[in-house]
Amino acid sequence: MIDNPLLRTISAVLAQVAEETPLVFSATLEVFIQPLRQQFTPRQFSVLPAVDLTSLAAGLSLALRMKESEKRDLNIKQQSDKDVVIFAEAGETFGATPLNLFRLKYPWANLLYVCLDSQLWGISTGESSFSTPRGARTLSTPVEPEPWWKIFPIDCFDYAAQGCFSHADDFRNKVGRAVNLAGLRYLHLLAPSPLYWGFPGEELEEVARAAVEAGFWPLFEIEEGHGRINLEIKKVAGLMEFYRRQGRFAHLFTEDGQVLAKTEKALEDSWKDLRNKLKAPPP
Amino acid sequence: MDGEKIKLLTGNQAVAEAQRQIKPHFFLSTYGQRPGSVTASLHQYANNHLFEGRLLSFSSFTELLSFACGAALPGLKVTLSVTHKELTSSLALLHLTALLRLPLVMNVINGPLLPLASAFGNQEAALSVRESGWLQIYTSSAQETYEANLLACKLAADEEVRLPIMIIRDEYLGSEFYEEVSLLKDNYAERFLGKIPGGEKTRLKEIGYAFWRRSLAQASERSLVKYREHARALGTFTGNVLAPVGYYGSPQAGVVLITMGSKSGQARSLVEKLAKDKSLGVLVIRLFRPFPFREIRELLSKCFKVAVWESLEELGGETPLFDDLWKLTAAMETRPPLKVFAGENPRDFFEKL
Repeated sequence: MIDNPLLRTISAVLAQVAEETPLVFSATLEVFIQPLRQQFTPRQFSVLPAVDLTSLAAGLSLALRMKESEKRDLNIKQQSDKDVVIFAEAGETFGATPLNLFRLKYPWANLLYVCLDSQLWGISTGESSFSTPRGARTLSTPVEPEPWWKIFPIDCFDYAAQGCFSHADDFRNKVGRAVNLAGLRYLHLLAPSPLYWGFPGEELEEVARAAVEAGFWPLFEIEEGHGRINLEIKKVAGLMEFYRRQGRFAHLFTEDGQVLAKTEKALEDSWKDLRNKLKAPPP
Repeated sequence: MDGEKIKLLTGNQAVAEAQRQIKPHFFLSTYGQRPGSVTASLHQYANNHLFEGRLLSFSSFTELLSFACGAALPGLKVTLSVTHKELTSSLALLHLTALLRLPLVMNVINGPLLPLASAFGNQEAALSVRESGWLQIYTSSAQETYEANLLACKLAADEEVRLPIMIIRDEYLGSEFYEEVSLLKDNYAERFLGKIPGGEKTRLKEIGYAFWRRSLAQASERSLVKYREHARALGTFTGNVLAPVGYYGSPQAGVVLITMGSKSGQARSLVEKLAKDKSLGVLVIRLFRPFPFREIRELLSKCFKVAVWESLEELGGETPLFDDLWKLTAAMETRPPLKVFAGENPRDFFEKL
């Protein structure tokens, strides 16, 4: 069970989520949550494709509150105290979920949206998504990468954070913060895929740790528009070593090394952009 | 009956009246509602504290049905109102809501999908989603629309059914025209509706698509029996039973014209006009999904000719209603010849019969 990065991440999040909170899993996760079903069936709501996940969560959040309340004439402007947790993958998050409109459309609803990013459209499909790094081999034509904090305006979230299970304390703090706040909270969590990334399953923890320490997966959080970098990377180093561990980048290691030089440069630029976005000072 | 009051209402207002009595937790619709729409009427009721449900409008059908899924999953009563244009925009979600066995009731205004097509009796949108697993009730008057709403609400939430239901009325004739509607008094409607069972039973089992599909098919079969049962129960309050099929004209008629929706009014007036010369009957199908085979077979057993009147010609096959009737008559001992008249006026084709 622990070998599956998705399950591992989901279980770590669920450890802090209240017992009665309904959970919504996107369709592509259906296969991976089977072991969890026995554990959580009574409170679980699982869904199929074509659903607008945010609208579904808004309906669920409001309906649960109405069901509990005896009075029918509830004020819609009042915040619902019922939480809903959505788990989805990168492809569905960037391709089909208008998260930036959630607070405009449903200002009274509560939602914790957890994106499990395996840098693919979906871990079961292996196609590229906006989060696929430049040069990585996937099962479909790669697209120009675009980080989530550029796709969604960061001030559309009440709380947003990027984390990785390899850094357990930071991960736990972020999940705890997201669970305890109200409104729209977003967690963007790394879920490396041994199959499509091309590394042995036993190295899961090490690869995830290397991704963070090489500056490839920055750890940061945003609360009410104020950003903070949780793990400072003074200089982007160790990227080559991180890339070398994975089969998906094997074709980049050519004699002239031009592509890799460009990649390092792109990552440095990306850090600059991130600091600007978060208004975080350089280290 | 003493439990009724008569009002002059449009089809939309009849829906609003029914919804006021049903008291759903949520009434969801899409934007672009005209003045005089169901939502507009319900807003008026809400302003006068006559309607307590939550009225919400959405910019897309996908959002609307997704929200409805979320709201209905914990067991709240959810009703919807959409037009033909939205209905055809998200077929996948229609299938999904049926598979989830959500007891939604959706009022649909039927109309042409393209501006050049005839607006009268055009049912192409609703017919195109007939295999989505939703029950389909076609109404031909404001009175029927009102009764169908009460009936559908009870039927959808029935423990043995738990299926979403579409109540389909034709644009203009079924939505804008004023008609006399006899409404049940609120306490009578409440007695009929009773306590709608809630509960969190609509949850996906882990067995998979084939299992859900089978359970949906079984529920659909049961729904026909339950429809008859609840229609009879409603009939004790209203005085007339909203049967799965309606029949007008001579009981011994040799020629029967079969149709659905607002076209039946025109067919009935024609039959009355020609009653002196010809022995004609009109069979109006109200419950189209599941198809009421038993009732139709009984009514057609004595006739020697059947004409099916549909609004549009089928492209490369048979028209939906004709197709079902063809299967139905195949099992009859003496099969009456079937003829389809698509897009024609009965005035013209009745002479050919």
